[in-house]
Amino acid sequence: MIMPDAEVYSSIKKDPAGSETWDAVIIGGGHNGLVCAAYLAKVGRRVLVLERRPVLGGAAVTEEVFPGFHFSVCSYVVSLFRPQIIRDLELARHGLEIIPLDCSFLPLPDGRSLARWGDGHRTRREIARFSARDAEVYPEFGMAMTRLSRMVKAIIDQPAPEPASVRPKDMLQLLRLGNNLRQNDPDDLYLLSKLLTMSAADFLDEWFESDVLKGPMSVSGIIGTFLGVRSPGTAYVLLHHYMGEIDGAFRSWGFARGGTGQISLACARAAKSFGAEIRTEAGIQKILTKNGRATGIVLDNGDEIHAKNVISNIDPRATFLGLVGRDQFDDEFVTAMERYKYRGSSGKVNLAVDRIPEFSCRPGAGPHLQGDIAIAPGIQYLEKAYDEAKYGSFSKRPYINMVIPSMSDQSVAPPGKHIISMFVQYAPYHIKGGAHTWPEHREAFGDTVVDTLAEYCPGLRDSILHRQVLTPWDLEQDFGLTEGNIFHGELSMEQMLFLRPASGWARYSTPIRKLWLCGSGTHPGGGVMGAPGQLAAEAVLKGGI
Amino acid sequence: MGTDSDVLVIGGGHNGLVAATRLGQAGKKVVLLEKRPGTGGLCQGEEFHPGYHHSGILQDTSRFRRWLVDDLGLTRYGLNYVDGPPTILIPAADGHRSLLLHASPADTAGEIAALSPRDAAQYPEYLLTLQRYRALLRGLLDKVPPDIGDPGPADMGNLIGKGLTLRLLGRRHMTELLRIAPMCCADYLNEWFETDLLKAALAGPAVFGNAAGPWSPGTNANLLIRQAGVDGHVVGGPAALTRALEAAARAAGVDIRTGCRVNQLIIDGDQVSGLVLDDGTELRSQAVLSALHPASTFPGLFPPGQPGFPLEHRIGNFRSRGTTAVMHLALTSVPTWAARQGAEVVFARTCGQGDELDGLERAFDPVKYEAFAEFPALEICCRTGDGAAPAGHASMSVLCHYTATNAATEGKDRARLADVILRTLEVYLPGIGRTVTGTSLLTPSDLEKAYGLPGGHIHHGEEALDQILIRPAPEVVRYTTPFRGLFVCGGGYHPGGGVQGVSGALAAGVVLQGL
Repeated sequence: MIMPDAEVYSSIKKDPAGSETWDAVIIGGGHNGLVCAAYLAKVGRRVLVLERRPVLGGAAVTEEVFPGFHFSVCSYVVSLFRPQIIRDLELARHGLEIIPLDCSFLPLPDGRSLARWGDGHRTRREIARFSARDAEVYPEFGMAMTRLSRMVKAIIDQPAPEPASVRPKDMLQLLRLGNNLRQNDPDDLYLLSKLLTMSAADFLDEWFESDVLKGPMSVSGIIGTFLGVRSPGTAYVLLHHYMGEIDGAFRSWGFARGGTGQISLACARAAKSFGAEIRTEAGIQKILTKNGRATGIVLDNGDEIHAKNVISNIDPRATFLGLVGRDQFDDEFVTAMERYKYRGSSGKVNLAVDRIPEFSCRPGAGPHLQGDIAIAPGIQYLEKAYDEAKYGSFSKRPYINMVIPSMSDQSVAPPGKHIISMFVQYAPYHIKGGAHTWPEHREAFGDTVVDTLAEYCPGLRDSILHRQVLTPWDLEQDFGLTEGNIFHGELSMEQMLFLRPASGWARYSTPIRKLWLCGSGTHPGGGVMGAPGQLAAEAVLKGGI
Repeated sequence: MGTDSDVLVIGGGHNGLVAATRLGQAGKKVVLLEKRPGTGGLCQGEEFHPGYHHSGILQDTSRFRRWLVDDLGLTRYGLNYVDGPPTILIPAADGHRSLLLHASPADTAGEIAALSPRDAAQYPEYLLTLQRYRALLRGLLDKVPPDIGDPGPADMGNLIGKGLTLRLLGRRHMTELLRIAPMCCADYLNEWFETDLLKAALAGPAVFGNAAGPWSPGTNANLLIRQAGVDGHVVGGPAALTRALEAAARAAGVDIRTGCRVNQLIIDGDQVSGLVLDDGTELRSQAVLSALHPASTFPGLFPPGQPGFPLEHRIGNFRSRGTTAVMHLALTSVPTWAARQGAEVVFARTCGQGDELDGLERAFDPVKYEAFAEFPALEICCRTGDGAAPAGHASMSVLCHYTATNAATEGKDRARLADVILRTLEVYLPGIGRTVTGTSLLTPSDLEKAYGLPGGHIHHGEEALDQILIRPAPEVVRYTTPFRGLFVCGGGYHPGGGVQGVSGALAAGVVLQGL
């Protein structure tokens, strides 16, 4: 029996903190904070989760923005949520149900279109209309990517290796990783070296000839990052599309029934079932420290809550420079946090519509609309969108990734009505004139997105009932995502693995004893994965509470 | 079967010359084959207009290694090699501000102080930081790469040695190197400096020649590598280096044959035993060393139908689309820099629109769309003495960044590109247009034809992280090939393009081991 949503919230205590001391207080009720709480509570620790907003989930949240329309306001699809977390926390029992995305649809302005399906044969037939050669190579590419996924998967399910550490355990981990790699075919190692360093466009050029295929494939490398498809280092994320497959638990991409927020709520129910306590509308103004050790937090209302451990699910800079204070750290660490790059590059536009949008290139409300739909008609289109953003404007013709969750899940919209959730890139946080001027550009940005989509769906404008536009500024102001970065910091090469968020502090511990990080600003990074939350819980437990 | 020589070296660019000289000095009988009328390749000086000579397509000799000068005894053959890089003028487009980058950090800091005291104070610290990684990087650049795919005991020793050198940097500096190497140079320079002109000036070498702007990830690796490669420079430029190398080669008994084009290799199974010239002449040797662009060797030198897979496929994927056009200008007077009047300037480098990192980035953007920059960044070399131009006149060479391989191939576009370059020069050198009596323009596709460079890339291939680490393909990173008797070197191989000579020298060592 699944605990109703209302109950998750109703049991949340609004009363000021008592004098009791918690084993751990977690700042931020995003999915990682809740995962971390659940893992700690599961082994009997007394855990309190504090969320500033009235709803749980952080950026993995579903809200009734307009009456009857439930939007997964920020994160809208699930990609790499770790299957072991679903098992460990019995999230299915707590209401989590993933509806796989069976199709990736690409409409083109010239009336053609490409749909890639879960069914390989069908996909090949679609691709063959553009290139017989590519249709043949496509499954081969998939197999190669799956092999490479297996090689690197170990990295996202364990703490980041520490190449500079001289601790025997860390060196052993490095050696083991190196040795595992050496077991592989040298050709695959070569391919991996290319995948880790090349641009998505260059990497795909080595395999495919059709721009129609390369466009929508390349975009996975740029999502949430202020880079273009031709920027080196973007090829690696192509793997993420294939990693889910080998987990065997579910398809790599899907919706959560009821919206992405249901993932967070399932985690919250699990945490509660293990005895964790969760409070909303409980913003934090300060982390308390004493002699370089975290001792608790101060709520916005001035109440103090004491805890043996403070675990922050918010991003690194906001945690250290915002809640702790720079005077508590040495200069080198402060510099590292100031250099840690966010610069969000994307926005969200959510539409409530009175009918399913009709694409002129493939009319009808067919199954091609039940997956994700990409406005990414070619490498040049995408690179131009990036070039505009580099100099501080939002793209006049942006990359859009959209889903219509109401087609497969009627619970999110009133009968006959639908919701469209659009991820839009590029919308640079540092827009010309300064980030604070974003509110002046908000509607123009929304219009641009609607205009872009309307080029493919001529009837779109007339069908719109409501529109929600979230600029990177809004993502920061409303959801606390610093500089609007959806991943709590750029997932660029210099901010990954043992460098996330800073050299020497990639293992969830921080320069303040008993202060820990558990959010996307730690290894293995952003996306609705849950891995940082789980790994952080393990680190805290090893630290001995 | 008898052989005509021990080693046949194909390609008389600086790497081919270095290799041939080294082999000749080791007592081997060497024949060097160059298809052009003279040696030097991109380092060859030529008369481009009656009475006016340029000193090579490439301009910068500061990464030609000091140890190579000593090793080959080049000063005995007329080489004038000076420690440290030459002074370079960085003029701003506003015609007022400028910077002289000197070999001496203190002198450069003095220049910077006029723009920003804070940056002037940072600059020596910045150089010191780069200097810290120099030994490690030189250890990587100046050695034959270890065989990572199938390491033998020596390779393991080498790898462990590299690992130890890295660790000797200490935890802090080691992780810092791993942090900064894959960054874009714009982010790194922004961490250090506030002055746009200075940042753009320092970013240039990290991106020029490649399909990359300062915001492209991985360009900071180039910044580090370039800095680590700097030793000194050749007075008289690449042409003077070529003259000395050719003299040294001849003295070592190398038989240099120019105007001699190789048609294909003589291959039996996986054994290469010589080659056939265009005129049908067969030359036999124990070893063939090709200093050509990788694609000119694989499959260029192979008889049609000879299976080169997977190498041919891999080399086919080696990116080498040029982004640089070259223009030589014959000038009737020595030009005057608006930002530094009266100064005698040999080398200058401009930074595009606005004299900022974004200016370089904007110059880079068009190559992605097969076009050329409307406000390019220029590397300029202006020579007056030593017969470069008639007395009182000057000979100027310009490297124009960025121009796509397929841009400006037609008459109308060529004229427009020439116009863009002249218009840009006019910004920094007002009135220069009136003194131009002759020009010669080479777009990347012209370079491809004239110098046998597939794609027309001046570094023989893109220098991006993937192509720096494994250059150009795993089978040939160590200058050996899957074919016995066939060796390779050149800018398309470790440690990359530019006037370094290292590839030729290391390959010669590998050939000697194999003979």
